[in-house]
Amino acid sequence: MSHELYQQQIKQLAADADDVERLKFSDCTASLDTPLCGDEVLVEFKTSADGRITEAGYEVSGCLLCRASLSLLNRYALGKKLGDIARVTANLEEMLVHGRPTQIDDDIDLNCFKPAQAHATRHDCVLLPFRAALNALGHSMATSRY
Amino acid sequence: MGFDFSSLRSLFPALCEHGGGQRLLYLDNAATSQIPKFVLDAVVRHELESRANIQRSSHSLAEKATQAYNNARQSVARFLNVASSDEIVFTAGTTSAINLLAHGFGNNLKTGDEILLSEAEHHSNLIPWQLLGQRVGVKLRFIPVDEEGRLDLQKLPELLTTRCKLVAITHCSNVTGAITDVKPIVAAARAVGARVLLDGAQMVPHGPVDVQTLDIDFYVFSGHKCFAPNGIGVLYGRREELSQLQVFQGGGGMVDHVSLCESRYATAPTRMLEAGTPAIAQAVGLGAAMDWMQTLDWPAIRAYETRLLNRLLNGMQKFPEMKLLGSRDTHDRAPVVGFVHETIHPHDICHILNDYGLALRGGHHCAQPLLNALGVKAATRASLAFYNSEDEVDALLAALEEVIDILT
Repeated sequence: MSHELYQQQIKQLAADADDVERLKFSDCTASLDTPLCGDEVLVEFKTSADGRITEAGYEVSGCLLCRASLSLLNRYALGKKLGDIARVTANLEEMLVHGRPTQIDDDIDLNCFKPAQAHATRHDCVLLPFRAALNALGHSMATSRY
Repeated sequence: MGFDFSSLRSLFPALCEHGGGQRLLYLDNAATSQIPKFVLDAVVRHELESRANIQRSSHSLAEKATQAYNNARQSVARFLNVASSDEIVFTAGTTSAINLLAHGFGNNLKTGDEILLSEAEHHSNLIPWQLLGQRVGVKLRFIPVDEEGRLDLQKLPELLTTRCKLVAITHCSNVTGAITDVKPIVAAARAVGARVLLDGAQMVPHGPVDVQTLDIDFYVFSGHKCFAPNGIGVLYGRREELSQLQVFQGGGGMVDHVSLCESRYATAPTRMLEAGTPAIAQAVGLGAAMDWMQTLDWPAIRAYETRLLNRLLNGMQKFPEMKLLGSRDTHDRAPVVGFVHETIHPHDICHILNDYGLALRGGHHCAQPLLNALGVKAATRASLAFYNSEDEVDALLAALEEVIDILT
């Protein structure tokens, strides 16, 4: 039922996404949308010489799950590298799509999205911000000094 | 004749109380309608008693199957008031019908020719023409919509020139329910020698269509939106128009003679344009649905649907934070209501409505250009059919109050 999905933690995370802002300058950026529901996410990062995220900016127009996920990404991203984001994204996908428990990462708790597992049409909403982050960093990897 | 709501609704098993389980309040009819049991029975009976390929073998079963398929074509022809069933081509649906036209009609065009669409089109009546533009160099032009999503026909004179070869527009919007004023469009198209295609996917569920009165060249629709099975659709075309279409797909059944190096295609459009074994049982189901729909009292049903629409539109007034898409005027409007809450995303609304047994769709409804024109990115849509009740409309309104309570 929806109350499991739309619980307080998710709602608070989504509300926090109202405060995200774009960066004035960024090293890499990516926009993604989900055609099914129209969620749109823009993720942009500034990165250090060794590829760590030093600043993050966002723009989001989407459902509550998408905005909550973006908020979680925002809390996690600073200091992380492409590999970290890729691992978390894979974890999230494993949990949502295959129902496997998430691996423990002290810096991020993905369990609030467990109730979304039963709703396949919503998986893309949750994954969208992380996929956009991967795209941004991947593009950066492909085109820059790393 | 009248309209007996209860007996009509009882024909649809999915809408009946099953005891114990949650009642289905199905308001997603613009996506797919429910199907009456007798249509399913017709499909099953055909598969059990007449299953064979058509127009190939001479055994009795094949003759029965061929007859059933041809009968279905005649049922569709009667529904559309078409002079001859030779003008009815079965397709897999609206999308495949338009793709067929985009090849069959479009490949006769040349660079510099124009096709006039509108901002209100479903992606199915947009992307095939975009692809044609990329293949052939045909230019697409668009009738804009006003703030209510209705086509702004004042722009027609400047948009329609002798370069325009086809006007391809929706008969009824799947987002706003706006029914297109076809007459002036046909007149303007005729004046420049352009053909007219109507996308009837959202119109046919609301009653028989008279293509002769509409005076159009092509009409397309899907079975699954008008109480018939999936996987079957219709392309109507005037005989002289169909006969000029280029072959879209090659295969068995569409030829008179084949050698290793070349083939002579069948001259009858219904054969030339239906390559391979068609969806025979689905066509039989569509025929059953069309025959039944013609027995209904459509003036009474349309009045009932308008009453439902009014009830929903009036009920929505209690949500000042909700933007309604489309006209408040129910004249020339099908019972389709798109709406947008100022802070709650349609996907979240639909998700929670599902807890109440309410089936609605949220998203861009395969009409992103229309939503852009209306200034929104996504919308929730309640789309009603004649088997919906006032109780269901009230249940939606009550549930919306709770959704807003939960998410704000």
